Amino acid sequence: MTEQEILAGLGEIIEEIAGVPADEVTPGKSFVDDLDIDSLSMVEIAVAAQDKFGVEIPDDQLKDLTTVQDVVNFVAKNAGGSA
Amino acid sequence: MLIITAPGQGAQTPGFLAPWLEVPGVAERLGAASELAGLDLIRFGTTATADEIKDTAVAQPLLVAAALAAAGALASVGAGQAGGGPNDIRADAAAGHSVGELAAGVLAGVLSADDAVRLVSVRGTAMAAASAVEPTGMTAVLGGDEDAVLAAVARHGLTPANVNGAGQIVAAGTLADLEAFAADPPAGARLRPLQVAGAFHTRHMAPAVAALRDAAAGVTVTDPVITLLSDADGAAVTTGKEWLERIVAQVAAPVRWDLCMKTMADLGVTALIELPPAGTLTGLARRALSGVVQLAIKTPDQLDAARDLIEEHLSEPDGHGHLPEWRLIVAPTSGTFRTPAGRLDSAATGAMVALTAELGTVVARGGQHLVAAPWPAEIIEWLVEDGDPVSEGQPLVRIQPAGGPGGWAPPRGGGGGRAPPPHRRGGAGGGAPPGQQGRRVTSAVSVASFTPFPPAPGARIVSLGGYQPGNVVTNDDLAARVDTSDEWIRSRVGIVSRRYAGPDETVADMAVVAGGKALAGSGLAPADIDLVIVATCSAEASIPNTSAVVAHRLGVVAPGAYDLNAACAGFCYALANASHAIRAGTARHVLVIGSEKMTAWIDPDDRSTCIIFADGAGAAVIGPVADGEPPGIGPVAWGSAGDLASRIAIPNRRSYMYQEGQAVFRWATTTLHPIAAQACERAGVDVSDLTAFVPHQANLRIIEAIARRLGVPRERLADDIVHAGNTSSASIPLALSRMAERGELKAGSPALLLGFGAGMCYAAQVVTVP
Repeated sequence: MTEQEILAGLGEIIEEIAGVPADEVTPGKSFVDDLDIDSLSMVEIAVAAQDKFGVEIPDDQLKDLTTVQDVVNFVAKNAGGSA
Repeated sequence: MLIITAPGQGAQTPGFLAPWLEVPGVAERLGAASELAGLDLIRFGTTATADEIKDTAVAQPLLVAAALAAAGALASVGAGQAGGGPNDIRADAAAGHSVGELAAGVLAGVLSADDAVRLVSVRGTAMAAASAVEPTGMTAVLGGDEDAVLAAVARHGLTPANVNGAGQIVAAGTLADLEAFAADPPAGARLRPLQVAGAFHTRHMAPAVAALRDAAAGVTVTDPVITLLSDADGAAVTTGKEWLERIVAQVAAPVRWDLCMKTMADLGVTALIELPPAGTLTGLARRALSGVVQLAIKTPDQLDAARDLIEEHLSEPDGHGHLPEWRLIVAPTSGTFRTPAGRLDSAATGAMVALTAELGTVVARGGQHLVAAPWPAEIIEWLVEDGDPVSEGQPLVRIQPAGGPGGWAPPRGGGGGRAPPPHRRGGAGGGAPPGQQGRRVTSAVSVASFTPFPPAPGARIVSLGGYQPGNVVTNDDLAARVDTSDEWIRSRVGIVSRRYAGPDETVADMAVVAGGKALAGSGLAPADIDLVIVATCSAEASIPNTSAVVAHRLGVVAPGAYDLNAACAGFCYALANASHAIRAGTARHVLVIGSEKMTAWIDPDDRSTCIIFADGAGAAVIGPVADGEPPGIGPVAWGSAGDLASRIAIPNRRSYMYQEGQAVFRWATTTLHPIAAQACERAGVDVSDLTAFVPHQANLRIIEAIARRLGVPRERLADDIVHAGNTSSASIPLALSRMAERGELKAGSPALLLGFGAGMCYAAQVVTVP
């Protein structure tokens, strides 16, 4: 999976859960400050990401992922190993 | 247990009244009845021929007047005294066959003897007129296989106008159809045409129904003071109004004496007395009610034997053979309760109050609301004091409607109480303990009893009730104390306002109000409840359990009682248990209450919990479904995740609750929708069929996520949390109750319940909306 694909997939998830248009989900944006996504929505996004990419994002690691790029990197790094 | 019965048409024989005229009072009563009926009933009962008394316009008033005159003689204190009247007869129950029902109604105190005679005159004349419309008749069918007989009757276009039990069915219809039936009788049955002019208890009597309805409008009725059975289905009638409606309809509907006798067996009747002209009903009882002592009173010689039988078989010394039937008087509105003006104390416990006597007032913002006694009654227990704040529907006082020989003063214009439920016997049948002979038992504390029931095919929600404390707490109120804001709370949790219980308001207090409302809406009496379950995790006392206390305060007599702690999944767990008990026959009606005072366990300065939790109670009365009906509570899907036990906890009774919000959020939004889906599957319901999804109101974001995953549209998701907060096990019944009040629930449709919370525990089931 390329970073482009992950970003696009993440954009779909964020649009569905937080109502932010997918094309506004750009790598440099911060979830809380730029996209106005709160911590509870982050959990939902993490769960949806697990369904979509097969990558689990535990709560304790989720709090460190503050920008869109952080999530893309996390998924890309962990995508290879899990089913 | 003793039942007195009155026979119907066909029982009369020429001269049957002759021996009775010597009994003091009988001639006078018959004379009075004759004036009301416009017939010389004494002549008809003594010297008239069989043909003359065959006419239904004569036979009916004759039978009722005779039964009542004999009942009056029976009720007299002793031979030679004419003091008693038919209302004074002592019995546990009464029933009548066809026209005999009118006499039974008088025996049960529903209407006066005079009104019964007036009514039966109209009935007789109207049925005679209806019989003349076309040639119709009735034929008794004795023996044969019952199903085959009924099929044959139907095949010939006839109606089984009487199903009398003991292999006796009376077929009725046009003479032509009866002839065809006689030519082709069911195997093994003997047919005997009856000497009646019409097809009574069939559609051919429809014109008579209208005439009777008009006459009934002028009759004053009160609720029966003893168990009174109805020919329509053998059930015990609960109100005078219901009795009158059934009497009117019964002229065109089949008499199910077989079901009446079945009810007698269920009630545990040990003796049956038949008033003159006696013989038919005792004959049927001999064959269908084995072990029951019968006495057919044909002549006055048998009155003494009848009195002996009454003494021996009455189940209560005062002759009113039912459990003390308490009534709860509840507050008509919220406000402050005040005892009657001009008196320091309201009527004291044990005092007798008259009909419409003032019990107090509730002072509310809009004015004063009078609380008055709906019957003459004895004050059993005050539940509030002068100056107490009360909520609408809150029980104020427990009273016992007055009764006893000669002591009943029926309210004018229709009664308000209920007859005792037929199956609750409670206590021993042997009467009061020594030293208490003649004293009515006014407390159920000494009663320990258990009555099992037959297993039921399923259970259903009968009624709902909810209670929210009066103290409204908004998000701004909370923001004044902790670092939060209205906007933050609305977006993270979805709550706009919630209620806090008063400092002295307990889990039991709230449960009593919600439970009382559900009980009031169920149409059942407190004594009908067999099991009380309170789901709670915030009860102040560990013992006694809340349920036993709440049951007592509601006037429920000796039910099973236990508290259930499955935190926020409590109500669904309790509902499942209620359904199981009813299906197993351990209970017939269950009162399930979820009641919580979460604020007692929350740190008011901890913004992670104080913004979420609130207080309240919700209740449901659960009952059986009828044979052949589908269950109204689906099979439960439940479970727990003890590995996550540390996520939400009140670790010991001195500490506050804590919860790991994120972890709980993740667990709830990801693991529960398959359970909910499974509950739908087990109930045979598609998620798209659900008209409502009512999950535990934990947090609006959580339940929206679950709904999304389950595929339930947002508009079908209950969001009571917005103005109720998270009330743990009270949240689901409180939501259901409030939604029902607002008309947001579709009666008869499937709704999905899902409870989940600390433990972690969870349970889901589909229910049919009441």
